[in-house]
Amino acid sequence: MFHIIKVRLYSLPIWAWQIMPIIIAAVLTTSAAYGALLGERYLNIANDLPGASTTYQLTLTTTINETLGSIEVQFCSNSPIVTIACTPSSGDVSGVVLQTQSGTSGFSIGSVNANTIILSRIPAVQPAGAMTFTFANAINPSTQGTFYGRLQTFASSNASGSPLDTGGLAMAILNSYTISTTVLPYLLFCAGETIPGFDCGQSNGNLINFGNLSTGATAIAQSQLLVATNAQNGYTIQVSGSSLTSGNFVVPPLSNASAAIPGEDQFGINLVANNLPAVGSNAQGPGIGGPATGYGLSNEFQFKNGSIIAESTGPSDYRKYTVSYIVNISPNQEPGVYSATLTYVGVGNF
Amino acid sequence: MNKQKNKRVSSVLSGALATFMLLTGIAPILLGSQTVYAAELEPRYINMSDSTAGKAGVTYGVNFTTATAGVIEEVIVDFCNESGGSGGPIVGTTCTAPTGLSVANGGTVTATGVTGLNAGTWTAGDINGTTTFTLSNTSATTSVAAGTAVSFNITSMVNPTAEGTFYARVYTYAAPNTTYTATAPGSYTDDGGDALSTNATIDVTATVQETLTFCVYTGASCNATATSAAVPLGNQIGTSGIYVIDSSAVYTGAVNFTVSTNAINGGTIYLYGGTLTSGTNTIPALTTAGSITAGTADFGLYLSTLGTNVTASGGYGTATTAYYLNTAGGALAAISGPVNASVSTITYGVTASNTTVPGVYTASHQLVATPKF
Repeated sequence: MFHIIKVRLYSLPIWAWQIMPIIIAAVLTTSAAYGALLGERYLNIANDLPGASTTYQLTLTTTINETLGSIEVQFCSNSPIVTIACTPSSGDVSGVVLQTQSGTSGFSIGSVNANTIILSRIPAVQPAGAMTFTFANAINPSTQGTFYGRLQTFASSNASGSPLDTGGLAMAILNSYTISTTVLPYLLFCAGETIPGFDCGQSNGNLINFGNLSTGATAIAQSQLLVATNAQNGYTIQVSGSSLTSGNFVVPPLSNASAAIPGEDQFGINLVANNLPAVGSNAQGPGIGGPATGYGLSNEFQFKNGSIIAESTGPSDYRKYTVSYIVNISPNQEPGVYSATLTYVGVGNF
Repeated sequence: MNKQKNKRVSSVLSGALATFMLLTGIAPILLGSQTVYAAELEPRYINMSDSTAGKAGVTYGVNFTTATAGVIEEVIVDFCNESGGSGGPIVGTTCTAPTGLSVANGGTVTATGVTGLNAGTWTAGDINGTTTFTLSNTSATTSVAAGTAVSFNITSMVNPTAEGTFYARVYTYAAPNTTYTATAPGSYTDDGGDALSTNATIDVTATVQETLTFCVYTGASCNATATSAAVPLGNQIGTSGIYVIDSSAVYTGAVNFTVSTNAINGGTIYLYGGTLTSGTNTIPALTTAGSITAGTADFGLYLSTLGTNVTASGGYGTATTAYYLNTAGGALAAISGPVNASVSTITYGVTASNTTVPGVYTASHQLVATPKF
């Protein structure tokens, strides 16, 4: 008895062609040697001047719940990548003080040197999320440019063992820049019969004509002065000149502030509003200052050559004065054409 | 099924006997045990969604084409190692399950995407301690034609823990086989073997480091070696280098900053610094955004140009009606994402009043860039 034997071979080489493509996925993964990549992270420098002692505020975000015992922050001038040898930055964090922490708790500075800070605590579960630490007394690198930070978190309390999370930072040190300008000493002063508004360019008239003088009534007139200055000690306005003169004959000036009396020989001025007689007005404008002693009493007039008639104690915006003039003559005043030239001088006291 | 197999055996035997009778004198053919095989499922293959050794939650896509027409109420997939020429895909031999392999990730066997078999509810299960997969439907009583492409996904696989090749034996049954063992698979309709492999992972690393370039300048371009930029305000007196302001106009000057970073979360540009100061005298800063009017002493700035991905923030504006200065320091601009050489311009404005005390006025300003990676 015999049988034809049919044998099915199962050895691999024969089966190979019978196997339709088997999809084998090559698994591409990042190396787990450095832990997971930290989420959002940044270092805010309060003062980024080279060499400045300042505050660093560090924020880092973990992406999963994990037992966390320490965080290492290392500052390097060459790269934020932990696998590349670190060239320490020229800054110095050896004297930092941990001021605040949020999003976590229990950390203190476990160890520190010129370019590395290790925050430590008793390992505890840290929920995924952002943590922020503020360090005082961090000293920036000494030159302008970019430097880097390397962040690693650990389950241990002394940054030993494999990191849980890793991430890099980049920061910039930058010189400040200066904005500058100059304000020159400033004095605006003008005189005229009238000055519209506060515009010296519009002032007009420099001749006052009292007309025929009479013993029965006070002759009046007025002119205006405009002043503004940034002088720290304010301004003064002086008047110089003589009283009304005709040859050898003078209308005597009032040497003290006095009322105007028709029939008496008088020449005087003031810088206020009057009603006896009705002439002049008080100072106007946004500036400061006022009539000086003897020139600020209503209905009283005087004239002293070289005297200060108005002043301020500090810088003043526009200030417009109206000068009131009065002339009275007695029956004994010699006839003639009387004239006077008055010079007003504004001085900024810088 | 067994009758069919027996028929085949009988016809083989008959054929052999007839041959012998006709050809006398021919040496007898080797005697030995006879083995009868069902038809092969062909083509057939199993896709692995992930070949990482030990990986859980992997999907095996089982695909085959029926060779024999008939009712299929169960499919069994048995996973085995090969050893010494036995086991592996060889039907009827001892099956040693690959270490670590399971068809029941997390204790549950699941299968999806059943096509080619009868419609209805197919139940996934396991036997042999979760190393053998079963897919059954006792209501699948309609015959499946030969040459029908069948596929389903076992979504609850756990890969063997060792790297290397392992095998699967695939059987179709007209009725659920409740007594299946590897050495006694019972009466199946068709069968086939597949080879699978777990591999070591391929680690690919590529690192792009965090970057930041930040520069402040007043010239035509960023000069990294410049010690400090300077922004004079006013009209220059001749060529004296002295710039003068007064109450008659608003005077302006500008400084640029350039930022490049790959920070995916953008960042913030901060401005620190006070107002123009000369000794104890200052030109007041505009602490509420607004216009500067000639003759009303004020000092402020606005962002007259915004670079790519840069927007004004912290109360700063982008027009001459929005001069402003936060003398306590704070955000000036926001960066919305990675940028390359994004150039922005800060324009400063100032005017003096009639009472601004004379002097040289200066302010030192700093920009701080904080990228968020």
